[in-house]
Formats: sequence, C-alpha cells, structure tokens
Amino acid sequence: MKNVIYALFLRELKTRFGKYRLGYLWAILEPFIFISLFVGIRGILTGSLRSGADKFIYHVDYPLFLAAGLIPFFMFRHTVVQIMHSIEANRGLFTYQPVKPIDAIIARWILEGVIFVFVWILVFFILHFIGFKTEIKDPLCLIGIYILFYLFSLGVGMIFCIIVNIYDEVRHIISPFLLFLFFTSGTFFSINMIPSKFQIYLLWNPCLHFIELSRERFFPLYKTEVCSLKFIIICTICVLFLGLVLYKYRIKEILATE
Amino acid sequence: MIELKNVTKSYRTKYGRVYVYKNVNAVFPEGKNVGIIGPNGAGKSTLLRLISKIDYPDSGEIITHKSISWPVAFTGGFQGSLTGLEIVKFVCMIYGANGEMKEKIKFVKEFTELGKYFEMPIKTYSAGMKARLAFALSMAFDFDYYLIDEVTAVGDLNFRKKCNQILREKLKKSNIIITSHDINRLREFCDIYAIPHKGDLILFDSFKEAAQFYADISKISAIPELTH
Repeated sequence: MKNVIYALFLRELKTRFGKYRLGYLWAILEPFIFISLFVGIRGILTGSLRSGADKFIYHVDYPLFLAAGLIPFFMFRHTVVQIMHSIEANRGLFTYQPVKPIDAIIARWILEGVIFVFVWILVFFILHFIGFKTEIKDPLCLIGIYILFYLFSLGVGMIFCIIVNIYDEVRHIISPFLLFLFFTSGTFFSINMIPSKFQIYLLWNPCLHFIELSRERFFPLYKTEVCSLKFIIICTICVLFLGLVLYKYRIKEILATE
Repeated sequence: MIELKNVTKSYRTKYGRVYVYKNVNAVFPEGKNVGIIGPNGAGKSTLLRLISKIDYPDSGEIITHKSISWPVAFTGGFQGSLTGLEIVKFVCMIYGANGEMKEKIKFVKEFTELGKYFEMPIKTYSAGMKARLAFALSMAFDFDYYLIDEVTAVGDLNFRKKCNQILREKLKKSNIIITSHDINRLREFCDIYAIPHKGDLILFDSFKEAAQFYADISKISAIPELTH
C-alpha cells in the first residue's frame, strides 16, 4: 500500500495541474490575488488603498489577517475537491489490482498537504518581506489546529466523493456549496465583527471555528471567545468516521459497473 | 484454480435489467488454459473483469489464490502527459518491483522497439504503439494467469510473431484466460473452453464438443435477453 500511494503521489505531482507548467505558481498566486482583492475592496470603501492595507483588525494587519484565513480555507477547498474527483480521475488505474481507491484518495490528500505547507511558508515569508511582520503566539497549537483541519478536509472529501459517485446530480451543488462556505468561514472577516444575534448562525460552520481558532493561536493579540476547540474535534471525528463508513460500505457499488 | 461461486452479474439498461450471469458455478482447474468464447456482448469481457477483480458481481464470489494479471493490452492507465518510461516505472512501483525495475524497463524498451518514443508523452503515440507498450508491459511481469481480451492483431507481422513467441514462453510457467468470438483462434492455446450461454457458463474439455455447441447456439442469438 505504501508503494502504491507513493507511486500515485508522484503521478499526481506530475499531472496535478495538467498541462500548465506554471501550475504550481498559481497555487502561490491564488492567495495573493484574493488578498489584493479584499485589501482593494477595503481600500475603496475607506477611500485609499494605503488605508486598506494598513487597516488593523483586532490588532492584526489586514493582509496577514486575510492570509491566515484564506490559505487554510483554500487547503480545505482544494483537498475536498481533489478527493471528490479522485475516483473518476484514477478509474483507469484500478485495473491494476494493487491500486485501490483509498490509495488514490490518500495520495491526493498528501499532495494537498504538501502544497499547503509550501504555500503557507512562501506567502508569509513574502508578506514578512514586504513589511507585514508578526510573531506566532503558539506555534505548536497552531500546527495542531491545522492538522485537525487537514483531517477534517479528508473526511469531508471522502463523504463528498462517495456521495457524488452514487448520486451524480449532487455534483452540481458542490461548487455553490463551497462558495457559500467561502463567504461564511471568516476568511475575510472576523466573527467578532458580527452582531451576536447573527453569530449563532455562522457558528454552525466548523470551518469558521478552524480559521478563527488558528488565528487566535497565530496572532498574539487576537481573541475569539465564541469559537470552540471541542466543537471542531467532535466535527473532525464525525466526518472521518462517516467518510470511512461510507467508503467501506459503498465503494464496491461505485467500482462495479451497473 | 479459479472458482466461481453463485456468481450473478447484471447491468442496468434503459430497457430493463440484463442478467449476464445468473448463479454461475464453475471451476477453472489448476494448470489449464481457458478459452472464453461467445459473440460480442455475451459476457466475455465481463467475466475477465470479474476474475481480475476490477468489477464486482451483484452476488456470489470468485475465489482464487493465484496472481492474476490486468487484462493484457489494457491501455486505460496511460495518461497522455506521461511518457512510456514513466508508465513502466509506475507499474513497477505499484507491483512492488522496485528492485527489478531496470531489467523491466530494458525489456519493455527492447520488446516494443519504440526507440526515442519511449521517453516521449503517450499522446504522441499511434494506436499501434500504445498497444505494443501495453502488451510488453504485461509480459514484463510474472503472473499465474494472464488475461487476454480478444486475440488482437497488434502491430505488423513481425511484432505479432514476437508476441506469440513470448506468450508461448510464458505458458511454460503460467496459464492464460483468453477470450474470442472465433473458437478456431483459441485452439492452439486452450485446454478447456467456457461458453457464456443464457446466464450460465458452460465448460467443455474437448475442442470438438465446444465447437459443436458454439455452432449450435450461434444460430440463435446468444446475447442475453432483457428481463423486466
């Protein structure tokens, strides 16, 4: 199994962005484009781009605040989408007996993790170089929350993967659903800005908890009292369990021709 | 030995469910080469897919302790952007043959006679070149059973000769399960014959009986009927 995952991983590495040679550059550009976009919007609202970038959100530079939300969220989204498509993308390979769908899923999951680490380091290094400096309050806890989010993405990806392979129609609502999550996960806002009577609705979204709690461990003065670590631990265990159960009982049905 | 136990396999079509196999019990004995004969759509490839565990039956099981190849000449895993060399490396890795990778690469390169194309993306290959690569790749590995779907004419006469030669070499240690719609082409390879017929799989030890039976059923359509 280790051999198979490694072989699939190398294969994914070569073909992840298809024919685009600059594919991996795009992985870096994506957060920067969104950071510029939100800084720009804020700049327009306040009257000058300078003040958009200089704006502090709860003692955090806005670009840093955005990066700390966008990069983990993009990791989540890419992981889910990549895992979701891992079966049809590798269907030809299942003809080789050692290759099982779970290998394809794990290979893609690992690749997304590697991309996340590289993008995270590069983006914060570049931001630091430009002048948006910060220290990390609690690196170990931060990594812990990222790992939890990464596991959560695997679970959600597996659930979606099985569901879209059984009910093909669902495929169309995944994109809008992920877009909805993008706007409600606190990528470009803080839960503290939201009036408390609306907070209770947003707090149903585990992604928001992941992002806000990671910011809290990241920035020395950032606080989110309403987010709960217990909630995301339970969510992660639940989605992983559900994903694995669905995989175990439905995968034959997906692989068998009907 | 490969044992089919109560195997049922059906397909859903627009007009209802088609049962290709219904409660099939059959045993392919140790050390025998099996020919599967039937017209197009009779269920030959389905049987191969079931045996190689790419596909699963609706119910029942297929029991074997032997190593079984992927269908020889299978090109579905050839991603256009990868080179022939990369494909060979990939298959070596998934079959845990890292140690023998060099020999296998050498074998495939020489057998296919692809030359420079061996290190070029698959999308630049012609259909014949792809088929050669697929055939050589299967032959580079040792299995107890090789599955061959339709005795296909790959490449030119010279290459076909080479294929037959290496297949005969392989038959000294391994067995094949081969499908065709033409029973006469299987005669030189096979010891027993399996004919899918009306949801069952009928085995014959002698070529004569099998040929007779096949001729008889060919008069009426052997393609599975629709059941509502």
